[in-house]
Amino acid sequence: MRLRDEQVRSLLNASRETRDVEIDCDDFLSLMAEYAEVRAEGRAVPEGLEKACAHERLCASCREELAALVEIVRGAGR
Amino acid sequence: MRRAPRENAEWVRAIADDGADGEAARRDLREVLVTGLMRVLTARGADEDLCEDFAQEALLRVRERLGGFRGESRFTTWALSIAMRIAFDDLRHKRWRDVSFDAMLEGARSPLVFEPRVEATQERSAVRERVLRALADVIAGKLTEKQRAVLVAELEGMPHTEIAERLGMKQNALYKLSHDARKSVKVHLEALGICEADVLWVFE
Repeated sequence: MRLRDEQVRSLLNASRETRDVEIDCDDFLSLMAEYAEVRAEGRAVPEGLEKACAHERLCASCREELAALVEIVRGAGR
Repeated sequence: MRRAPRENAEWVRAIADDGADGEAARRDLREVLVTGLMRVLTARGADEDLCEDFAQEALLRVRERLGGFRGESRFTTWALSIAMRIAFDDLRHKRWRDVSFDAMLEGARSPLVFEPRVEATQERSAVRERVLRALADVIAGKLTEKQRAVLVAELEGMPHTEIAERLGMKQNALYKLSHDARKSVKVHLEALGICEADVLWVFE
């Protein structure tokens, strides 16, 4: 199996971001609406949402959904 | 006359209602969902009919999960988050359904090799070599076969929903497997004294 440099980078980043306790994608979904509003309004991430922030850095699927939701929330606020 | 926007409590009460109020609220929420979905999915190739289908499924799930709404966001944002999960899961599944998982598993079993690259200095080459050797050792020697398979599928970009389906696992069990694999890599690199600065220097 050949790993490209971008895959090595991705693995090293994921390893660096790994914490003892993390939330999974279902937990992230339960926080996503609140987190999306915080992000859309440019507020500082409150303590209770830090785990969502950490999951976002690790999970491309949740990151994709969050970005879409933030875009909608921002659009609705205009 | 256009009605005033509903507050969260009013949404929750109305969506649960089986009468005319509930019907009106579900119609309004459906419009919010379809508008939101169209905004972000049209560029990804989803048409209005598909967005309508996603919105319909999301409406059902919102009703099922009403008790889980904690009121920490606007109700419509919460409903949209559920619609996003449904829509993106479906689109990702369509994107990946024809990709062979067996080929990935085969790859996970074969020896690991890395992209050859000439670094600007000998020192950089030595650090790169050290990091890559450490990665090869941990992947080949410390991970289980299942962890290796998940890691490879993740590195190929396959989403967790799809990997879970192919492996016949629940998503939270898959997340734990992936977490344990990442943790092994992290612990191994730390044990060899490979620090973040080295990694950033060569790979960022």
